[in-house]
Amino acid sequence: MEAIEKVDVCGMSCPMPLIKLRASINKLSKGQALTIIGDDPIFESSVRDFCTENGFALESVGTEGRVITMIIRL
Amino acid sequence: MEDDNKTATIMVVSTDMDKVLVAFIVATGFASMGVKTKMWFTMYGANCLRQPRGIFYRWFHHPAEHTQKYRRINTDTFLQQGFEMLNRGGPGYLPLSRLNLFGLGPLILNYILKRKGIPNVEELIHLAEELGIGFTICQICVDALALDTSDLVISKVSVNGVSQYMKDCMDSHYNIVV
Repeated sequence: MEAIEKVDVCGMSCPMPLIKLRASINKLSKGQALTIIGDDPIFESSVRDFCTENGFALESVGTEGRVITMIIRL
Repeated sequence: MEDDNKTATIMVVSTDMDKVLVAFIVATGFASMGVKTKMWFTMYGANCLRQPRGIFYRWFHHPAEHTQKYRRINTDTFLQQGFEMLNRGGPGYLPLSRLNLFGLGPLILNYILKRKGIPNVEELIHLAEELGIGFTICQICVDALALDTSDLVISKVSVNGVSQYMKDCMDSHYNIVV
């Protein structure tokens, strides 16, 4: 199933990616997916911690230079 | 994995921008990670929640008594007005604890934060409010520093004493005082 929500947090620093991610996830229901794009140096580890803490599945991680694209399934 | 019972309490006692910024970054980060967060403000820590007002504002604008239910107006002195004149508030007017440079330091730090994509104190206060963080101000601070609770940056704030702080602390897994 395709990700229905896309969040772009390029240029933002900690903790803005987490705040934006939480705001978007609150709008979704269980089973839906979300794409998040960011270029913060600790972006990947923050989102991984977010997923393990809240019990979400991390489907894919793509790196393109400094920009990281992650897909999260609720 | 998911635990809804995790709570955190953060107390702000200092007015310095660097410390308030740390407190709000920790609070918003915790709240977005799913931790129920409560923030406490006492003494000069409450300065970051006040509306920015001019030096002589309080001499001409007296708040209505029915909005000040946490203060004992009859024991107020003129010294409190003088104190409030010097004790400037507002999230954009906080000093730095080091390298304040007579007010230039906060401007420099705010410029750096803007360049780096980090929200400043005012944005963090509104983000914290949207994330559902509970704000509480100490009643002694409201009374002694003549804080007008109807004239704050945030709309919903509760006023409580140390007994409520003790209950919040004992219930929470994490507590810091900055």
